[in-house]
Amino acid sequence: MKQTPLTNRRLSFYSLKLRPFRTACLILVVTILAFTLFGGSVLTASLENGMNSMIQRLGADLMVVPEGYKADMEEVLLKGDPCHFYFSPSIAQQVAQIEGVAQVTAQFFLTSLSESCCSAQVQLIGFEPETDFVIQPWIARTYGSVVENGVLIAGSDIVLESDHTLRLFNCSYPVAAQLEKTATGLDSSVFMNMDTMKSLFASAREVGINFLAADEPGGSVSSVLVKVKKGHDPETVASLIRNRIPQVDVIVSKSMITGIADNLGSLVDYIQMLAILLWAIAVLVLTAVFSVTINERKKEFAVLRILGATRKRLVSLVLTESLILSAMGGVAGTAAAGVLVLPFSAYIGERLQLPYLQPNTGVVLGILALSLLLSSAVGPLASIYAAARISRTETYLTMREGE
Amino acid sequence: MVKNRLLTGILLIILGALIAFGPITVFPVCGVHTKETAADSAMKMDGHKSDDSVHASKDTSGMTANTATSNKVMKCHWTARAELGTGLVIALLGLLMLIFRSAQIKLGLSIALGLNGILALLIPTVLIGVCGNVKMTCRSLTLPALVILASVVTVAAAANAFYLYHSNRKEQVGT
Repeated sequence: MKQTPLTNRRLSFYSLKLRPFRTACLILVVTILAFTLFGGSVLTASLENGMNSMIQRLGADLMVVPEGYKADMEEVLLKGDPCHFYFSPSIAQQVAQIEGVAQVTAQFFLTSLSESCCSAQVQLIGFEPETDFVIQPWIARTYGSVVENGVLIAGSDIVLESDHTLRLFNCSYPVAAQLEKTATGLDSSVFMNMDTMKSLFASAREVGINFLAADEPGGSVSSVLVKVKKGHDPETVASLIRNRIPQVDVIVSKSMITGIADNLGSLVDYIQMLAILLWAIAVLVLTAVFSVTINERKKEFAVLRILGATRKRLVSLVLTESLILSAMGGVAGTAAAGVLVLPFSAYIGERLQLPYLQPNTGVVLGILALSLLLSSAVGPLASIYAAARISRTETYLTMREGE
Repeated sequence: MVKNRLLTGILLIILGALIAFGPITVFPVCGVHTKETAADSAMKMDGHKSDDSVHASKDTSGMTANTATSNKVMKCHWTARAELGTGLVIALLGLLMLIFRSAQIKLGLSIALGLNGILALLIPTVLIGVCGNVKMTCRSLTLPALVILASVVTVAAAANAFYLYHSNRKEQVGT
């Protein structure tokens, strides 16, 4: 018969196997903890990442839009819901003359038809390359050269045709680059210079879409983006614009971001508090359970002492048992969170209605390692007291107990 | 052995039912989309303001009264239909797993379940697919759900087949 040494690990496994219900319950406690730690951390990191990306990408301090279209512009920026509205290009010149305004650029919006499978309608944004300070620095990160006429730049969520083109208003346009994800509505937008927008506009007319005579690139614009001079308060400049130019609305980027950041902040706080609370509960529950079971197992440990196990060995046995429990729970919890949070990131982002951008693999792996470490540490931490108590017990007295 | 049979059978019945009915209930596909046809479309501007400098128009849908629409059945609709069949087969095989006691039959059923799991995985990813737009629920919800469920079926069936094959061999060596 094959003989196997009775190591700490083997003894711990036997002990856990002997009490399946207790083992399953303790593993479940750590599983819930690890699930919350890993899932919550990935969620928090994704929301913070999304928020940072949004701050970086908005670019302009103020956005001037036609009166009544403030909410629509915010929808374009945050959710990518296609929308178009126009006002006179002379507004850009009027805005440029207001004190505190450093730079001004205009954009022209158009909404596509839902032409290919499920591509739905997308926001088409035309910018002026000479004055633009918002789109081009962002495009430069993935596309080195200037955006030429007839060429499109697609947001990360745009589905391209197999030949790397986009079909808009029955015409195919080559896509020079697809931008990196930003967690804003701009991910589902398509960018082009004003000349390309003009030809696209002509194509739209050809397929039967009627516009007002003035509503065409050059004859009108959709929004005027403003960079405020250093030392000037964007809110003050915004009120100056509102007072001096009639029938316009001004969006202050900082205020818009602050509103989202407040919502996000409370959600992140809630997740972090839940994780800390669960960690504390897990430590308390495991400490209580280990204390009680060690009391019940006094005689078992006394027998081990009689068989030659040292006090150190008993401590090591209790710690190994708790480490196995918490490691199993940790692996199960992080795996469950990984399966639920990572593949469904697009859906979660959509449901939260907050900028949600999953961090890169390195960060996710870092969070995974930390969550595994913290959840695996719960067991040994909780059993230190029980282990110390069992090592102090006198074997002779324990064996005679109850006689 | 009985416990293993019960556990595997019930798990596979649940997974099969989820694969079959999930895409039409819990994690639904988009199904039939209403698509605007470009040739007949006409963008009607509304909400124009009389002021010369500001003439805003809002048309979030892009098209209004003159827009012609047609219903287009999307890829995800067919994926849901195919998964309905595959899921039901998985659930049925799981049920047979509960009924039959012979290890040889259960081994055969496990292999069939594993292959069906692979098929359930390939339908939304390779064979038919789902819509391309990341905002469509079929892509953000149905696809990952089906991939996870089909993977669990495949892994569970493979593990069961492995276990049955080895226990069967042990029994043969013992006799």
